[in-house]
Amino acid sequence: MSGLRRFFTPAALVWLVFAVLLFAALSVRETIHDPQLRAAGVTEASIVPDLWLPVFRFSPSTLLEMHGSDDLRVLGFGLLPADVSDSPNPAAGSAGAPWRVSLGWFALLMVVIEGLLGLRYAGVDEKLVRPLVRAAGIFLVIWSFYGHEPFWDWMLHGIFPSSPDLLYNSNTVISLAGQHLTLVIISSILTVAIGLALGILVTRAEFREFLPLVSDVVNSGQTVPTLAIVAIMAPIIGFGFWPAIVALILYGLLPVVRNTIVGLEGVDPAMIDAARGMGMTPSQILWQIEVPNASRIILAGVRTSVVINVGTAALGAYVGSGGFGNPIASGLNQAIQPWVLLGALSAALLAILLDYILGRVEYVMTPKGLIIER
Amino acid sequence: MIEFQNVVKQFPDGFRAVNGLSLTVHDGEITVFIGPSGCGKTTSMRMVNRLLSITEGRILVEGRDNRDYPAEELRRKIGYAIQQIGLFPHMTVLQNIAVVPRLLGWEEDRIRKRVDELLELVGLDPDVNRDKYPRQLSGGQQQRVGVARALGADPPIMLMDEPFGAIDPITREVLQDEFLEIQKRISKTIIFVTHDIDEAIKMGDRIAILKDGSLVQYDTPDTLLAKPKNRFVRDFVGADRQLKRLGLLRVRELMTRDTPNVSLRASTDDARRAIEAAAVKSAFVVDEDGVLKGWVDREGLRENPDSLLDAMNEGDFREIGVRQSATAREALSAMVARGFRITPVVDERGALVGSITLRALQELADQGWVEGEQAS
Amino acid sequence: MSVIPNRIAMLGSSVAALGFFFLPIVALKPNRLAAGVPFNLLQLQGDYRYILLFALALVPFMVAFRKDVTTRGWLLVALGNLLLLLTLLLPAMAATHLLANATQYLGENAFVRNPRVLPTGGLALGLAGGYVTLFAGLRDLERSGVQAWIRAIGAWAGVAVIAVLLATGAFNVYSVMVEFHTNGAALQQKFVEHLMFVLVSLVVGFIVGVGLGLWASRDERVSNVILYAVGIIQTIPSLALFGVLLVPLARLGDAHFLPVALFFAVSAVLAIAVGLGYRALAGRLPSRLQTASLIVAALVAAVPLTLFTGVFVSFVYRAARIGFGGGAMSGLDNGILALVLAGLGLWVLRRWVFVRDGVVRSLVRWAYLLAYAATGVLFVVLMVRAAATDQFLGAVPSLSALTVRDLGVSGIGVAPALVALTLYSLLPLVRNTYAGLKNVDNAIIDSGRGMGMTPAQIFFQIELPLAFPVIMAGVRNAGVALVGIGTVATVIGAGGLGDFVIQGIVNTSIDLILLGALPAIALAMVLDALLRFAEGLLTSPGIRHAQNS
Repeated sequence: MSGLRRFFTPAALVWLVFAVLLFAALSVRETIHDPQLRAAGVTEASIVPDLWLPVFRFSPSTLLEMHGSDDLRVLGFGLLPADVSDSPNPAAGSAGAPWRVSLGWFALLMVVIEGLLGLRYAGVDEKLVRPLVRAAGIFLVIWSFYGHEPFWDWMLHGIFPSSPDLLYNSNTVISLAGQHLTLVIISSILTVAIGLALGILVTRAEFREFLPLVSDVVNSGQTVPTLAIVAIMAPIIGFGFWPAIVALILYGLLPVVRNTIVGLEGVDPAMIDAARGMGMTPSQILWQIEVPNASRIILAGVRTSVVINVGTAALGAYVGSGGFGNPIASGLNQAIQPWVLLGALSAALLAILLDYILGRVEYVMTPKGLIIER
Repeated sequence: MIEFQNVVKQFPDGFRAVNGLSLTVHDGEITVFIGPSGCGKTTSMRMVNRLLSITEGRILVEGRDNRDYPAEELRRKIGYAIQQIGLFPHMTVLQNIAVVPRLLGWEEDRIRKRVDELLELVGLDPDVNRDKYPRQLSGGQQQRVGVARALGADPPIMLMDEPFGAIDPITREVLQDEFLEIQKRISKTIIFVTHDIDEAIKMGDRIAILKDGSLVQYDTPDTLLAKPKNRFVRDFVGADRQLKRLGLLRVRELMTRDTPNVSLRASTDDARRAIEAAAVKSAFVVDEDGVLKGWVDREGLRENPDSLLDAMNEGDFREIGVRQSATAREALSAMVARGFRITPVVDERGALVGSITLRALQELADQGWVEGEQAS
Repeated sequence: MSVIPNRIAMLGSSVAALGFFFLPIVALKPNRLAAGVPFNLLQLQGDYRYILLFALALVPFMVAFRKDVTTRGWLLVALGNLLLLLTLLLPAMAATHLLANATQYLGENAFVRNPRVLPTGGLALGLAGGYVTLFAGLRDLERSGVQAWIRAIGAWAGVAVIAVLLATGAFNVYSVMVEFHTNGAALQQKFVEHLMFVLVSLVVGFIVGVGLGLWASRDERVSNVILYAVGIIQTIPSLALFGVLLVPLARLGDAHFLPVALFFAVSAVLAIAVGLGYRALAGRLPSRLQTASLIVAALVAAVPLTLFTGVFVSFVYRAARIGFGGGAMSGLDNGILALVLAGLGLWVLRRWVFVRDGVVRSLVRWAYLLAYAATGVLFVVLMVRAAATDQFLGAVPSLSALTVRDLGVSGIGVAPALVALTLYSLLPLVRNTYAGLKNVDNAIIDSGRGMGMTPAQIFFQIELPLAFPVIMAGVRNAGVALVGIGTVATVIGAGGLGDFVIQGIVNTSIDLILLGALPAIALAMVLDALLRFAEGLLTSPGIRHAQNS
């Protein structure tokens, strides 16, 4: 009895309720209203997506596979080599795939996983597996919804019953998500690398004199509007992916550098003195003492930076970098409200999702001794 | 052995913190550096493991100039404990203590054994505390771990910078006593920096008093108290230095062993004889095991000439006696409080082993005072 | 006393010199759209002065090795200022020559129409180098103990001279200035628009945010929910939030006013009921349910609150535009401004000028309180009169015909911008209010209580003054952020400085982008500085000193 109660942790229960809802919704067949989906031969579909696992290519539900190799690269979440594009119609191909699995089953799987974890770590403060498993589960669910156009069709039709246009006409939601995420991930990796290096450099004794200068620049950089940074890159670098990346890095650097500096400066000097006195080398002190103790603040900066990058990447649409900004911009230009809402909701969801995931990562990576209280 | 040879430390802003310091720290002793703030005591200590560079002169560590060692290697063989403790909050107690052993590349098994051993040495249960984080420990426990960490790789030398400074007075006393016990067993060569003269007297085998970067006096606590070299030292050790000095002496070393005493069974005549033979005013009364039971004086014997039991003043040995392990200062304080001119000295069981008089203590103090005056 | 070389100065010197050497300093453009022909600093013909500028960039490097910190500091400050000034001025002088001979440089076939000179990378790096050199000098002066106000003069001298030159038209050859002169009137209007929607949403955000922060600081359970909610808002990309708001605001605009007002009234009653219910139940629910019920209650309250805020902000914004915009209000607007200034003046007088006479002191106090009250009354009158004009509600025939759109709410336009900006301002305001109030030492509050102060007295006399600097820091953060986010509002038709930026992207014109961006940056900086100044005035000196030390 108590075993059963330990199995059904709150998280497992939520997943269970979710699974039940998904199975119930599975039977709801929706008539497709979007002209392009209809043109693609889809007139009716379930609003519940199948699990999207790009690595194994078995999302069947993106029905608009129309843009050839370029989108496929994105479809593969950047993981697929470009040559998969020779498969003529991935959607049709995977429709009959044996491992096609509805999201409801995935939710049930999560119930089992959460339940087993609940049993395994009953009453234990486990801060590695559980948060990451949960974050991964939530990511897969949302990513699956991104990959399921009938769902968006259903939702947008519900909000705009009389609108002739529903889905964005020049790209699928999932490939927009892929573009957006690619922008954010690439820029964030570079941002973190550069920002961390800069922050560490100016807090070392050899370069400390540059610290006020860097702080000053970082603080006043805040006053430059993001739109202006994105905009000014276009005439200099040209339109497309790279001006957006440069702008994302420039603006994303601010919180990373600032928090790295604040975090490292906040480390108790007595601790560093003790470490030095014990014979640690400067690099051992940095990586074993200073960085772990500053990790909480540094990671918070990374999180802020990534979230800002999601927003700035949306503005990238105006310099042609793709992403969820595209349907918003086009929708505003052509006064097609469903497109605006589609892009806006998806972008907001992506930002919240990334914020959540990074929050979990932050939690996992912060040393336990820093969180614990007596 | 650590030898300072004409050591000078000048900071980039021109401040000369240490000015030609020469002294030798002997093996297996606690040498206390003390002085008012800004006297260079911490600076001197920090030059030993080269946390600060030496401007002029040199410091020999085990016979070699400490600049011949690579800095990190030198520091790894010198234990280091500081007032702020500086435990790493992101590491468990075990990981904290294991830092230096790991830096030295010890086997994990050996490290684990060593950590348990050290935790027991400093009076913490390894099974309870090994995997705790510093924030889960009290201040006293943290400082114990700090000491254990300094002892981590069994360094022959330790530097301690006011290690008990940030702890409440009661815990501080306990930790000081414990550390002295530990030092009896491990006999490290220790430089101990403090600004608290009482701590210095209690902990130090030798005390170096520094002022403005120079050594003023370097002596054992007793000599320092008895013969302060000049007015500065006298002021620094305080007006009550005679009392402090009494704190260094044990009753065992001062007491008179042949004390007039009589058994409970003895007659009043026996008692009178004993008193007269010793030409004193009173005698102590003990039972058959030698345990102190009270005392009897001439007046009592006059009023109750028949029964010793009626004539004597009864008293528990804890109330009226002082332990032979007590300090002279404690004996003095007990005598003043009880109004005795002479007090019996007992061992752990309560058996009478001797006595000590107020006059003897006074003379001791006066003698030091006079010598001190002459010396200055 | 050993002095290390000033490596910041070396950095500044290197940046400027490398920029001058490797990057073109200006580009000559035959017209607004065509690509320009780049010119290196050393290629600029006709004069030795350009070589001198290059040489000047190298001087700080040598000065950096001087031993005397004070002299070095002054030299670097002078050099930095000079570098800033000359980097702008000399190419502008050369540009006159370039423009005069435009055909010669551009070739016969170029379509030369309204040619202009575009500042490029070399010039940007020259300015950056000048700034870094100046910074290096100021650090040296700070180290040698030169007083802050003297350093400030050194810091701003160059900028002041540049500003004067800018006003006299010395930089008019630069393409940004060309655009400025072409779009001068539009710029002014956009700037005012921008300022207005930033200020209006900042004020509303301040009221809501400080209120929420106050509530959060009083109830730990509420604080989790509130901080989480405003945190979520902050993560939503600005473009997305504008987009999400577009739909409900468009729908709201279509609705008639009366049912909407009824909805607000009902939900206000509901919210109060929920609040009271929560209060009554709070102790009895299990803690897990308490949080959940709070979230539900917050969601129930959030929707009407957001909508109401949207309507209210939009109304105030439009009324203010009309009221302060046209001078149609028969001097009412100027009257309000005068009263505000008078009130401030009296307040400053009472605070800083030592008036011994108690009667005079209390008179002054009453005078400025009266001024404030009058300001409030006049403001309301102004709003009402502005609303009654034909440009606004005056055109609506009857109350039943009144739609929410008439109040200024629409999906496209300024309404979503105002709501979004208000929402964005919440996080810094709520968080800082909360943190500021939470950080007030309990012992201080306790001693206040022990002296018999009422809760209100404790709040206004102890907690608020102590938390004030933190709250003001939140206001500053919010203000600076709003100016930046405000530029994005152009995409939903709210206008503002973002208009130029988007136009610039469309025309691939850096000049237009800068025309939008530079005033926005300046606005953010000035707003920050003003709020900092106000914070300094209003913070108790005791707290100020404690923070500095």
